[in-house]
Amino acid sequence: MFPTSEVMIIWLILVFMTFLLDAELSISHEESVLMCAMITNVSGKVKDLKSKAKQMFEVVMRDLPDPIEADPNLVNTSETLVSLARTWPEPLSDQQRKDLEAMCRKVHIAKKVMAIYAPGWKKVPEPVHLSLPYWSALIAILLGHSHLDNVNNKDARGLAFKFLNAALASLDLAESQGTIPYFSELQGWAEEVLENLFYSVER
Amino acid sequence: MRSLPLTVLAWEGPQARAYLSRMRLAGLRPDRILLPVLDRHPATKKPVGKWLPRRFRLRYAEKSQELSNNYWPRRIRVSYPFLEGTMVKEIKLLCAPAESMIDEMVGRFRYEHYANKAERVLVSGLSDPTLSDALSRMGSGTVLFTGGGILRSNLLKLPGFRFLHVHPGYLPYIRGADGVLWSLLVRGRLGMSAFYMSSEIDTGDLIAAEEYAPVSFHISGKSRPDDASLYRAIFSFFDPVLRAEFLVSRVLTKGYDLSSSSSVAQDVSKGITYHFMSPKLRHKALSLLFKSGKVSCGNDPETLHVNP
Repeated sequence: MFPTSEVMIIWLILVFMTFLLDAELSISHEESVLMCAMITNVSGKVKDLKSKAKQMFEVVMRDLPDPIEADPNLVNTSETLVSLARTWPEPLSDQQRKDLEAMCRKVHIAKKVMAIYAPGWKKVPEPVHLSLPYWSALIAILLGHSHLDNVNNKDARGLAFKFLNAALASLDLAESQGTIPYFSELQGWAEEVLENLFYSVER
Repeated sequence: MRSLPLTVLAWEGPQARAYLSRMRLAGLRPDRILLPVLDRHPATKKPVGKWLPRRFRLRYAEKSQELSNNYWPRRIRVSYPFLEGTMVKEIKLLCAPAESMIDEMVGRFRYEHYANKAERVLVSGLSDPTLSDALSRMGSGTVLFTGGGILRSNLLKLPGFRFLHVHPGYLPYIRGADGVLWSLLVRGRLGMSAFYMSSEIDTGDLIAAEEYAPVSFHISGKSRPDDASLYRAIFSFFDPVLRAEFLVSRVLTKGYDLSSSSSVAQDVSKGITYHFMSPKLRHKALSLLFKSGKVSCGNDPETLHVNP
């Protein structure tokens, strides 16, 4: 059977890359073929993880209760998470990155995430803990943004590892605080992301 | 011995000792050491000798702090001598006198031998007003920060003072905790930066920053200590010696004038602030540094990037 145009294009790119690698790295043709095979293997893994991420995302977000209502001048963590989930898998905007990094800070330093914060992610006088389904949403969002498309971009790699680290810390916190929905599924997903990201480092 | 216009805020432990030992070996002598002595036990947080007269309490608390803050380097030396040996062998490629430095750091340490004047002050922590008062009495100058927590505005805003810090990451790209491990994981190499501290973490004006080829310590699979011990070994030997070497070789002996303000602002829009690694990620990062296998082949400690 004749290959589809998509497969054909990928095949042509790979053939081109093998010759490019031969010339640039002064390595044997067989070695460059092997390297290209490794690259396709990694992109295949990433693709698998992305489809898994999409499934997990849908499942976790489907069961979310409505965000709690709060003064619009305050930071509403559950609303922020819902808006982050809506735009995934698009890259984070500057504001979204700041919000997600602020939540990472809460996980690592305060060891808890609250439902409401004063502007600038500061404490409110009567804090309420983020509800358990939203913990799952936070972990799913962190893991969703830990997939690495460009292994050579150190900033992207750094951010992917940072979010993965926060997801792993959130899972540890969740384990000690009570059962969050889809805990074992999220844990399995985090381990796969960890292996995948670390594989990019070892290469 | 060349006298340095520098006060060392010596937080008892491997880092302060490494700086002072490396300075001594380079023939440098800071003007003054200010040694904060905690009025509580560093580990248990219980008050230390509160029934003793102040003078005796200071001595007792200093001894208790000395034993507690140097517990892990001594314990590792006794429990895992091969680990220390392997690490020293590699660290020597980056810092020639590493072995004698580590001996000095782990042994008895008399602060009076390392500076023109050594002063002790009993405090509850870095934010204790007694500490800022003790510094204020010194007038003004550059203070070397050696750890002990986050510096608050009571010290950072002291008029006439600026705090010099060496961070184990290439700024502005690697900020925050676990700098050695994040550098290896994210940038595939080691980094060091010297800067003047500001209110935000690792964002102050840069004096120098460099990246180095990665180092790895080869230990056999059977005798591999657990992750907690390997992590402690980094902060007992590797991290302090590297920071001290960077401070002395790139800042203090390179003609840098501590009384001038030759530093450049960081581009804070770049880089990422990292937090302590969770155990699973730390396990992976440690495997980059502590490799299972035979004797190490030794990496070339070439400098890759220099900034500014």
